[in-house]
Amino acid sequence: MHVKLQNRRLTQGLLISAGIMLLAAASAWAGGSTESATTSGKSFSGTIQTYAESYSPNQVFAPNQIRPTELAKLAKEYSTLHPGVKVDFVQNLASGSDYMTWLRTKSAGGELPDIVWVQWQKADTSVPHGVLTNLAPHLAAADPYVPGKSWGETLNKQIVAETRAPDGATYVINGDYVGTATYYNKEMFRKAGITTPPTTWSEFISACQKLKSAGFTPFAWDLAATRTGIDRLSWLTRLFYTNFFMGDWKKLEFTGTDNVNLKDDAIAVHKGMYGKDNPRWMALWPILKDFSQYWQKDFTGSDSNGNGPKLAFIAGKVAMYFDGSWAARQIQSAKPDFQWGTFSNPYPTSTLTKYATSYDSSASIGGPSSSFQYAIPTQKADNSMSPAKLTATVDWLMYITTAAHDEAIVNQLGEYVPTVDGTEPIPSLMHLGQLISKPLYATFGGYYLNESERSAFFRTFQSYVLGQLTLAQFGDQATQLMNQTSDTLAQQNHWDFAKY
Amino acid sequence: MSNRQRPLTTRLFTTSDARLSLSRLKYQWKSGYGMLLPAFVLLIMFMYYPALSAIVLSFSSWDGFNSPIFNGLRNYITLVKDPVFWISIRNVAVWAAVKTTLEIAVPLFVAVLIYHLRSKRMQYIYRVIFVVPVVVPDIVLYLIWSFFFDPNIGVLGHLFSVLGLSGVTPNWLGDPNIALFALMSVGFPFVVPFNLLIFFAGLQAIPEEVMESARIEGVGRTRRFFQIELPLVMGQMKLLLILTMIQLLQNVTLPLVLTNGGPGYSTYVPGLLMYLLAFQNGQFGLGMAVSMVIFILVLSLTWIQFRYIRPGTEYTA
Repeated sequence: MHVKLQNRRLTQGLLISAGIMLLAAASAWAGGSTESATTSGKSFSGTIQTYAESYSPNQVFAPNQIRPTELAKLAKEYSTLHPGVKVDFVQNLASGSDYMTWLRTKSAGGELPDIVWVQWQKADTSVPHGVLTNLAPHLAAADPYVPGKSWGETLNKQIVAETRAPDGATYVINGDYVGTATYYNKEMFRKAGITTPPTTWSEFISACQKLKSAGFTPFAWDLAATRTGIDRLSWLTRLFYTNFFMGDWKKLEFTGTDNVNLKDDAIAVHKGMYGKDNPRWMALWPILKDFSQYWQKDFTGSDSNGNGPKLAFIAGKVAMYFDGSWAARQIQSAKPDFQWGTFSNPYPTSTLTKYATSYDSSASIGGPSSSFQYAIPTQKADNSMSPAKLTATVDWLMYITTAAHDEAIVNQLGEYVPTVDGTEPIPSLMHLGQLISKPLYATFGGYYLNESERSAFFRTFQSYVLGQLTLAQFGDQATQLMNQTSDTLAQQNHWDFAKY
Repeated sequence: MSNRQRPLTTRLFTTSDARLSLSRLKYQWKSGYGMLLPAFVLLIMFMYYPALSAIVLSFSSWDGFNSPIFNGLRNYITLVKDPVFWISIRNVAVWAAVKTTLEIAVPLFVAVLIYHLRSKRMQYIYRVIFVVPVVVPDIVLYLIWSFFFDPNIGVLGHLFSVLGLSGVTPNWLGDPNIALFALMSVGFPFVVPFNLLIFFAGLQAIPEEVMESARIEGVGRTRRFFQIELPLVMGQMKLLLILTMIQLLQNVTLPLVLTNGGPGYSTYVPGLLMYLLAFQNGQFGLGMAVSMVIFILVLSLTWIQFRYIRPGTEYTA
């Protein structure tokens, strides 16, 4: 009797274990698809998952943050227009999260949402080949929401051309433009005897000297080895190298596209235009080291999750810092107890160095690199993607990139400028709006060929600024890094540098 | 003696023997192997398979998305030639040496102090006080410490300022000469709850007669510690040395959250290198090669400890 009872319990236990395993297997299999996307040739019925970045209604909001509602409103309208199609918004990652790691791991599992946010430069450098769909063929298609025009004709042609990948593909659809500026404390400027904001780099350094003499810390710069710190150095390389190489700009466009793209940069490295043997390229680094004497004391320390310079500025500890157009509202909502303003980033002139040109490169730090940069994953990266769903997802993108919709979405936040043809920015960003149809002249000067190189290059620069490396040693190491990366990229992408 | 009673090996194997074996097998299957099977399958799927995959993929070039391409020993050669790899090894060696010493010595010292409290109730209270912090997730601890070190709003900077030392406040995480030591100080005062409990259990296992005779013979506290207590907890120490070293060598989260390996490479460790190679650079094969190196390092150190640290006495309850 006892043995029978024991046997029954054991059998029950086995059955329960087997049941749990079956359930786990079934849910893992079922988790990959939550809708019945139909196959090629039939219209799509289901949900389009969108990662909408700053425009997403599904994110954790800071206390004074404007809540974006336009995209959600458009999603409802779209569903009314297209019964059976729903648009859902994936929750944004928490502030400070590593988005690219999330994208990479999700794509490996085939679990990307149907629309993802991607920086157009990273579509070439960080995102593995095969993750994103080439949308170029769809740009030629008729836009059902703008009669008489193709989709490509409704978008900003300049930006479409500039954000094209070296292989000619268009992976990212852009809808907004960001600017950067120097934010300054008007009271500190007044006390230091600075009556007008500087325009050129030499005037800017002179202002820093006056501020320092008056007992203020002139500038806050983030040189911590964090994602933000590593990225910020590219602001300075763009500001200076775009100016320095403006005289040779046509020479830099090796591949003949409307911008200096990643491949052009790699070729420039290969040819020695970017590297220690070019004094024009080397001229930047002592300038930046000299600039570092005006930075806040702990510029290589913790950067408060990327907000260190902004916090130092708001707290009245520094007189100036660089930031994007998004910062204006954030500073406003923090209500600092001083008057503040902005001026265009100071650009180098011949007063500073003989290698400077007369080109005003202050706009080179901004560009179509903001929140409205959407891409569609391939079926391998998003297992739920089908030809019918791709058509529907492209259609949804076409819907939100009409002039009226793009303007409504972008202007609601008031941090960026809409770029679709026929849009207008908010009045306070009118000056930025004038830039969107101008050629985006911007080169990183070899910094940011890929993530690995950028990180290593940054750390080498840190060591140089901290006095651990001489200029010559820095030049050697940076050039070696760039050359190795350039060769690796050529190998991976089957580029033949001998042609150029 | 009937067939049922004779040992199976000394007589012919009959049909009833077969039935008996089958019955025993069925019973063992249901009671032992069968119940272990689901756990075993899950163990293979989630522990052994990924580890074996990592070994295989460490010999390939893989971006984490497309198919891996076998490249032989190239990843390992790249690592050997990479100065950053050797910097990370040096950093983790220093880190492991200092931190292991602290995380063994301090909990042992505290365990001895608690053990010698006269009141059992006070022993319990102190144990609880020292162990309660274990409920705080490590990531929360790291974020709190990053706040401590923050140059703008950090507690340490403010403390220095209050003491009139604002001019000499170290750049905790930004000075390449001290950043690594700043990371090592996370976890101060280093009373690791798990280590404390293990040592305490080891001390409790010392027979009362040994302590009594030491008391009668007038053995002083210091001599008692070094000649009685320390040798008798050597088994626990061996275990904790191994576990602490494994944990330190695999350390990723702390440098990632606080410094991302900077400034420069001053806080780069192999675990962080592995993570950044894989997830920042998309070089999963190379990252797995680093993980293999860490594995070999841990295995070697564990073997050395098993070989050369022999507790004087093995205690049983």
